[in-house]
This record gives sequence, structure tokens and C-alpha cells, in this order.
Amino acid sequence: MRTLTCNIASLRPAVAAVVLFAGAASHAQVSGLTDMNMSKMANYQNECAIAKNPTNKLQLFSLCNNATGGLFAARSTDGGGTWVYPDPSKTIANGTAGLGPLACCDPTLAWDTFGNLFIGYLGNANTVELILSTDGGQTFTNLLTIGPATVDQPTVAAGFGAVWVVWNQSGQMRARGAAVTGLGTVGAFGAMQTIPGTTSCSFGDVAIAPSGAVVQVCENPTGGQGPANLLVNTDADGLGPGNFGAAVTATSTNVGGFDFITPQNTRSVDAEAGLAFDINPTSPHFGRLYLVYTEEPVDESNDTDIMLRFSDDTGATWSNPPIRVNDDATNRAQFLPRIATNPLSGNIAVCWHDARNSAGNNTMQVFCTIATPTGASPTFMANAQIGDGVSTGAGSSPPAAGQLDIQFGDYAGLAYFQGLAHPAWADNSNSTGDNPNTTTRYDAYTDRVTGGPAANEGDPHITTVDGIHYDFQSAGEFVVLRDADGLQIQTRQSPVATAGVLANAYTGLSTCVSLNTAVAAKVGAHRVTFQPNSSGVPDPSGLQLRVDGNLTTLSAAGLNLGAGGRVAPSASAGIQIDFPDETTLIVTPGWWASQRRWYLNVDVFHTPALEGVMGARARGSWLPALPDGTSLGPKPGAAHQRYLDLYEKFAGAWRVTDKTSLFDYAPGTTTSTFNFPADWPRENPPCDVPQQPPVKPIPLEAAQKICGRIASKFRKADCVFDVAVTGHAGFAKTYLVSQRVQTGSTTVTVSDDKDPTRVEQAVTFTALVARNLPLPRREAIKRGAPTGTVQFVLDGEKVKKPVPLDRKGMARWRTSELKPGKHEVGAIYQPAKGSEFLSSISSAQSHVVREGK
Amino acid sequence: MTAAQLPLCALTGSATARRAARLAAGFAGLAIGLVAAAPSRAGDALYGKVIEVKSAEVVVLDYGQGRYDVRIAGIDAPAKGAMTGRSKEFVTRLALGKNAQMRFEGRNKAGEMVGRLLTEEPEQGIKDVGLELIKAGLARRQKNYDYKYRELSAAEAEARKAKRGVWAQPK
Repeated sequence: MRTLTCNIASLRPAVAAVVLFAGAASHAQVSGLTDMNMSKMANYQNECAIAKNPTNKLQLFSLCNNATGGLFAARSTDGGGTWVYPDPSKTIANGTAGLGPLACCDPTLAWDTFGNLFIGYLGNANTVELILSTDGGQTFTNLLTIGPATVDQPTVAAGFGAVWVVWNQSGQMRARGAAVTGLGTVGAFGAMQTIPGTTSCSFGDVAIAPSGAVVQVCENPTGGQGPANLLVNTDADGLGPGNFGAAVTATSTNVGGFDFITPQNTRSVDAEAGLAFDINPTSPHFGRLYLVYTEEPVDESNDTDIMLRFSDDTGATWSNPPIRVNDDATNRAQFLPRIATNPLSGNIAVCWHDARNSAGNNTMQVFCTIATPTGASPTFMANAQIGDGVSTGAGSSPPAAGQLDIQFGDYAGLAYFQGLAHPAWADNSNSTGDNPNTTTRYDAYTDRVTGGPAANEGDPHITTVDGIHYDFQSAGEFVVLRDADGLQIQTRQSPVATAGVLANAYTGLSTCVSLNTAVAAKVGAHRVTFQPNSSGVPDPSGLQLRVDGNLTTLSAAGLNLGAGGRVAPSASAGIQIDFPDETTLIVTPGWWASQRRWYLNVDVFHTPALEGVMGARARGSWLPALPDGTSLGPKPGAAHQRYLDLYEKFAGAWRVTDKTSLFDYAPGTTTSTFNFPADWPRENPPCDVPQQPPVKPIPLEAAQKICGRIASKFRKADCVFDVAVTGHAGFAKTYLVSQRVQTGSTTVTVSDDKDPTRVEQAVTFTALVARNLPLPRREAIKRGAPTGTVQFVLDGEKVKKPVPLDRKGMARWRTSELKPGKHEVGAIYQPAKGSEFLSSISSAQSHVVREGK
Repeated sequence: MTAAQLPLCALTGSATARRAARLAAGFAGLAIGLVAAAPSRAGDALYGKVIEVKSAEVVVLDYGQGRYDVRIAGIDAPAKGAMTGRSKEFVTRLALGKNAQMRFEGRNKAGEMVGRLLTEEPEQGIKDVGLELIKAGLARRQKNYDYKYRELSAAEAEARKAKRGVWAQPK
């Protein structure tokens, strides 16, 4: 029998090359899209707050200081893709009736699950102002005025039937709360509470626990360059008669209330303590309170770090030692941190200003990271640069006076919900090219931060959400990706009898191989499977799609699964699943005629999920974390130990059980039916499978030629591996399709500029077509936005002719002819002929037209 | 009281509202034309007691665990002549020994904390020391500097019109 061993021996240089590039640095799991300039205004905007509507993931609102009047205000109705303004001045609280009392500064936002958007800020007449919007930031109602008094730094929190505002007044922290029982239904605010032990304490945050308890943190003393303490007070009964309890010292820090560091040398920074509760009831740490803050391990070193502690008793005691969030090895500054938890998953996002790439430690880029709540304590993923440009501390400087003024300000914003984190910050890089003051003044920037992409292709070769590339050849069914928000993707891997093996560059193992043969997913409340006939006899005409066990045929528009979930035909002749949390899964099938079996390439985009075979590594681990969040530790030196780690411990931990399986089974079969052979993959050949003739390998040179058109180095290596080991040239074709999917697949979203509208009132629907794969800004500009046309669809009927996309990938339809009632508006993207992009169909955007003009 | 029952913007219809609205309407145009006069606007305050008045422009604020020399933002007090003493005396009367909030802007090269100084006393209410100085004609507005809504310009115009302090002297 011919074996592959001689082929490998004769081609060692090629294999060595594979090893070299496969060992190259991975990209971060956390990734941003292209920065967006929300303000595009003259003079400067800084100290931004941002909030996302928990009842509508497409709605965001941002509010920032504005140099010349009012507060800069913008809202988005398409998840942060585009921004519009509640007023043509792009400001609110500017003295115009209906836009809130005149503002000084210090905006703060909270959006509750009734849809109430609470907006707080310092008034210009020494007041704290609280206003309310019940329509996503289009109109505003005055809610509360506190003062006049010497007030500072208000912070608002909302949720669990309450709204709270805390602020500093005459040097002490104060608080007031009110019950909230519905949209626009806010009770009377309680009397002002003076929070005990907070004299000379400020610059903090407030958060509401699921129990209704309220926790505030502040920094004491407010002056000096440190050391200082972060004091926490808890009002255990929330809106009940009890007051805040005594102050607890959560931590000390060497960052004082006015600590001058190189990148913020005239304004200074404080520890900028921030709080966030894990409010996902199914999270293993439901009710855990996280505290993020800035530390300067060596006092006055200008090397500040972002630290995190947590409390499992609502602020009474705190974890020790703290977790360092930033992962740089420089002696440069990280500052102005912001924390937010995803209410649906318990995942924790932290973003901050980072000078790690600044030789003079005097410029910054925005960085972010994310952690799951799974382990005993959170393990943050590799830090990722999110801001595209480099900003300096001179963006609020009046040049004539030669002052640096308030520089970046005292804080930045962060919202995190349904898979996307949205930082908001002051930026004078002009990386977007549309800052009216170019690089001399700050504009308000934002980005959309997510995870992935990830892939599970061919033999199967895994690309994890944090960019590690390894082979996983077990037989059976596995959880490849999951999130506490309910998302789960499982794949079935079936053994392939081969006459030889190749080494995997990352694991260094030369095991037998397998193939993805079925995929299953939890999409909101539904279970979707895409697998061969349950009879076990694959049908070359196609795979079977089932939703909740029912055989389903898809229309071109796909099947709406509710809550933003959808399954639709993919441009790759497979299926595309859009999950409620923004994850997109594209499954590309290939038919292996000689073996009479289907195999699947599984590609995932912009997912917040971090757990599973395609999940992220625990810090210091060579493989993704185990289901309980624990680490497998560094890669063992001995090959056999690596094999045991990967194929016994790791594979065993992520193997599907009868209880957890999402697949559909023929009578008499279960998930354990597919755990065969039990010793798969064998550590060494022979790789025989009962009743399966071994496939015949081909020489590596031939495989390289067959795979020559594949551009990605990883995918090309995978293709060469698969074709060489199996002799099946069809893998190359499937990889080419996956390559097209990876680079050209798109998502089209539809938004309206106002909702609801009245009869004959004009409304503009905007379709935004975006590439699924996040690209660095330079690359994105070079390759351009999607081109082609969008066909708008109203209540299932095409509207007029297709509209060409503009240079930003947008198309608009303006109408004042909608009839009263609820409408569904969608868009079909058709790429320009010869472009690299693939077609896509939007989910429907609902729009209500009310009677009367 | 529910939100729906809450009154609309308190400024509606008032003279203050109309003035503010006019100001706001002018911002867009002003913003481009007056970049060099970017006014100041931020929170981040320190609360303490004024324990010394070094001059009309610089006071010492004790916040309990430390002290700062605070330079009052945006004012240019007379450096010599009789008015110098009057200005310092004005600040002394207004601020010395009083609880005060420094609304911080930035630290200058001399290491002074530049910010607005707001005193808070039950009998006086809140007084913006810099603004009061200019209103009394005991200091000029710093060139290219103003508050967010041009309050310093307005105060200076008022003092000039009334020929108070430095504006009473012949050129």
C-alpha cells in the first residue's frame, strides 16, 4: 500500500514553510470596524457618553461636551452605522425650548428596558439637569433640576424599576432615585441623600443591582496626585427607606484626583472608577459587581494601568489582587477606562485611552478588550486597537492662549449590548477625513467592537475568535461556539480513513483526520440544523435544513426567527444564519462524490461569543478555555501530552451530550452514535475506519498547484493539507468559495430617520451595505465600500427601481405615501458586476404610520 | 408624577430662553469664525476653603488633604496702580475663608491650577469670583477667552458701559 510518508519526507521544506507562517502572531479576537465621526462639527467635542436601547439594538444615542454651546447629541437607528441629530444644530440643551435646560457639560446617559432614555448633565447655572426621551432621542422632556449649588460630575443609572442620579455637591456625594414603571412613567424623585463618608470624594460612578440595590464609587481625596482610595457605598434597599451605608475602601490607587500624566499633562486624569453589574440571570456570576479603575504601580511614573476588581456581595468586599486589563509590556500610559457588561451574556467590555504605541507616551489610541463571566474570575482577551487614528492632547486647545485646556476631558463613553460594544471618545486624528478642524480639534468618534471572525473549515482547521489556527480532528459532535446570551453553534465531525497523515503546524501533531459533516445552532428560541438526511444516506442533491425539527425550505428572503434571528440562503449555496446578538454564521457545503458525503466549511463573523472549540484562549493557555473557563496552561513540550490535552481533555470537555445536543437524529441514533471510532483521531496511523476504504493521498506539489488560487496563507495551507491527505481536489473549490465568503460577504441593514410618522409625512429609509469582514481602515479605504444597487421592499413588494449605492455603500428611499398601519421595509443588495462583494438581504425594519396629519 | 405630566422646558417663553435661543442659533456661525476664542467648559471640580488670597488672580484653596494655588480662569487684573489693591481686596472680601469650588480647566506652566472659582455661602449664594471681578470692572477679560455662553464678554460690556473700575479711568 502506498503511504504518504515518502511524500512528506521528500517535501520537508514545504511543510517547514507551513510551520513558519502558521506560527506567526495571531490577530486579536476583539476587533473594531472603521471609526465613525459622529459630530463632524467645528471646534471640539469631548467627554462623550453613549447608550444603547435595550429594547431595540439598532438604537443608540451619544452625548458629548460641545465647546460652543449646548451638548453635542446624535442618535443612530441602524446600530451605529450612521448617525443623525435630534436638532439641526447637532446639539441639545442649547437654550432652545424642548431641548433641555442650558448645559455646561459632563453628559451622562442611561437607557432602561422600558425604552426610557435618561440624560443627565451639568446645567450652566450650577445645576444638575435630568431630562428624558421616550422616542430614542428625538424629543425630550425635563425631569429634574438639582441646585443651584456647587455641583459636579453627575452620573445616571437606570434599570430594575428605578432611575438614580448621583453627583458631587459641596464636596460630598449625593443621590436621588425614582421609581420607573413604564415608558415615560417616572415617579417622584426621593429626597436628596448625602452619602456617608464621602467628603472630598468624587469622579466616580453608580450602578443598580438586579436586587434594586444601588452602589456608588468615588475617589478620595479629590485633589492631589495620589495615593488615593476608591470608596464604595451601597444602598441595599434601593428606593426603600434606607440610606446608603458606610463607605468601604474597595482599593487604593496611586492615581490621584488630579494626576498629571504625559498624555494628559495639563488636564490630568483621575482613577476614573467605573462600575457594572453582571445582570444576566443565567450567568455563573449573576449579580457580580465589577470595578474598573486606573492604577499607577510606580507612583508618578506616567505608566498607568487599567485594573479590575469584583465584588460578589454588592460592594461589601472586593477581589484581591486586582486583574490588570491592559496587556502591554511598555512603560506607557493607559487611562480613562470605561466598563460595560452585556446584559444578555454577562460578558465584560473595557475600553480605554492607550499610549502604548507612543514613543513619547504623549499620544493615544483607543483600545478595548472583552472577557466572559465563565471562570472564577474574568480572563480578558488580547487587547485590540479599536481607534484607527492617533490622537493628541491638543484637541481642545485655544491656540491663541497657548493652553491645552481640558484635553481629552475626564472620561469617555461605552455601551455594550447584544454583541456589539460601542466606545465613544474625543479624537483629533482625523482618521475619517471629515473633521472640519482637521487635527486641531476633537470630534466625537465611535466604533463598533465585536469579536471574530472565526472559521472551522475542511479537515477541520479551526481559526478561533482570537486568531489561533489549529487542527481539531476528533470524531463526534462538539460545541464550537457559545455565548451566555443563548447563541450556540455545534458541529458534527466524521472520521476519514486515510493512507497517510500530515503534521499540523500549531499542535505539532500528525493525527488521523475528520470532516465537518453537519452543523446545528441555537438561534434565539429556535433550533436550526443543516445536516445530511437523517436516514444516514446522504443525498447529493443537497443537505436538509430543519427548524425546531421540521424540514424547511427557504425562500430567497429567508425565514425570520424573531428577535433579530434569521436563516436564509447564503451566496455560497449554503445557509446564512443571523443570530440575535449580531453573529453571522455562513455554512458552505461541498459534495465529495467518491466518498458520497457532504462536508461543510463553517465561517463566523462579528460574534461576541468567546467559548467553545472556536472560542478564545484563556490567558496563558495554548488552547481555548474549557467550559468552566479554566486554562489548559502553556503548550506542553511533549507531543503525546499535547495529544492528551487536545483530544482527551479539551475534546471531552466540549463534546455534546444527549442533553445539550442541538442536532436532529434518525430513530435509534443519538449523539454518541457519532463518537466513532472512540479513539479518533488516532495519534498515529493507521487511520482506518471500518467499512470505509482509505482515500488516496497525492503529492504535496500537486496539492499546492490545485490550491494555487487561494490567497489567504492559512486557507491555502489548509487546502494543501486536505487535498494532499485525501487526494480530493474538490476541497480547493470549496475553499475558494469560502474565501469569497470571507472577503466579500455583506450585511445590509435598513433604518428609518423617524418612527412613527403621520400620514403624508416624509420618511427616509436608508439601506447600508457593509462587508462582514472587518478590515483595517487603510485596507477598507483601498478596497472601497460595496458597490451595486439596493432594491427596497415594502411589505413584501418591490418599491420602484433598484437604487444605486453611494460611495459609502448607502442607498436611500424617501416617501410620504405610506398608508396608516405597521409596515415592514427590507432591502436586497445586488453587487455590481465583477465586484468582490456578495449579495445579501436585510431583515425587515418595522415602521408605523399613524392616522392623521 | 409621571414624565408625561412633567412641564416642558422651564425656559420656554422666558426672556432668558429667548436670549439663550438666540445665542444658540448663533453658535454654528460663531463656531467657525471664532475658533481662536474657544471658550472653556468642563466639570471636574475640587471643593475646599480659600485660605489665602495671593492676588486678585491667584488664591490658595485647601481641600482638606492638600492645597493648590488656583489661578482664576479668564481674568486679567490690574498688575499695578490703585486698582491692584482694590481688585485683591474684592477677591479677599468675596472668597477668603469661604467654602469654594474650583472648576478645573488645566494646570499652567507655573504649576498653578487654572479654573473657575465659585464661592458658596448661605448668605451670598454661589458667586463666580472671576465673573464678579469683571462685572465690577476690577479685571479685564483675558484676550481670546470666554465662558461657554460668552458670560465674561457680557459682564465686561456691562462694566464698561457703567464705567466701573478700570473702565472709569481715562485712556
